[in-house]
Amino acid sequence: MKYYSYLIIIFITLLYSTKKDLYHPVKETSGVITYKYIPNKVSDHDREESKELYDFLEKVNSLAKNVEFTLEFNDDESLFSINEIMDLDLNPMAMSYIKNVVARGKYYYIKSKDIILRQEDLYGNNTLVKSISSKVNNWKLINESKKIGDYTCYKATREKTKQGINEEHKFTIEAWYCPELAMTYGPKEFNGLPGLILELKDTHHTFYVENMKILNDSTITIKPLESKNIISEEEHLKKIKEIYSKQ
Amino acid sequence: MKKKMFSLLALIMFTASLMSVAPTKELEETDCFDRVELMIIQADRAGWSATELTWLSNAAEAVYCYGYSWDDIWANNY
Repeated sequence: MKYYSYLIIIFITLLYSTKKDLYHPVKETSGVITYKYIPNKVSDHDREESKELYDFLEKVNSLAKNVEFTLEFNDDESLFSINEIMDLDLNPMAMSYIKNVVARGKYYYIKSKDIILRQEDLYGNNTLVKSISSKVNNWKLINESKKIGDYTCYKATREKTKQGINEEHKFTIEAWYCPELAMTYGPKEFNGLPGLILELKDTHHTFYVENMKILNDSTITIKPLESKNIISEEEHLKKIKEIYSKQ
Repeated sequence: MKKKMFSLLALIMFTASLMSVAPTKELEETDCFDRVELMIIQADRAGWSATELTWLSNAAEAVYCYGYSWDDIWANNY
């Protein structure tokens, strides 16, 4: 009798766990996306008006044209960074440009906590700047689509503000995300869309996917950004204003 | 007479060449910072952030004013 009771319990447990998997499948995903970038197009008029600047940038961008960025992710985290293998081979000026202007450090996103941590070299003590993803990534979904490789991607836009020396500059950021790839990640601080971002037009550069490796398991582990010195985006902006108002 | 004319012409040409070279040389020595400043104004107009402008200023000064080659920049942490 006792033997049968055990069998029934085991049977019920197995049945329950199978059903649970059927109704609530645990789908694990991880992957590595490689992005490259190109400078955004500038009108002939602007180029002519700012010849000195664009001549300089043309030279730097040509030196940095082979640089790659890596987006590693699993179910709950992503890390966007410059491909470290390239660090050794790339022209020093180009790498400096990429680190200070194009990418501005590493970006670590924790989906369940809704936070983004960005490395900020300005303070020199491994400072991380923390922002709330849903607050900054307030996307507007646009009814426009295009094919990127084999994937149908949809357009989304959001505003971005940059603190200049004297005033703030406002930009509209354009993302092309792919719902077929249901990960909510993208380059830099841009995430939270219902699909992986395959192309992103940032303020002055456009990131595009060069390579994708997506796995149906969570074998890719992310090395989190950690520091004792974490400041909020608001504190960071306040400090920048203070620094530049003194100059 | 002809000899005098040639001497006078040579003197005029020499003076003119000095006048044209001198200000250019002076300009070359001083205008690199103006050039960098112009680039900063242009980048600010294009919406660069304050920290990006700092990088641009350092990098452009290194190349245009201090004569670093594009490869030297790394060693100087620009």
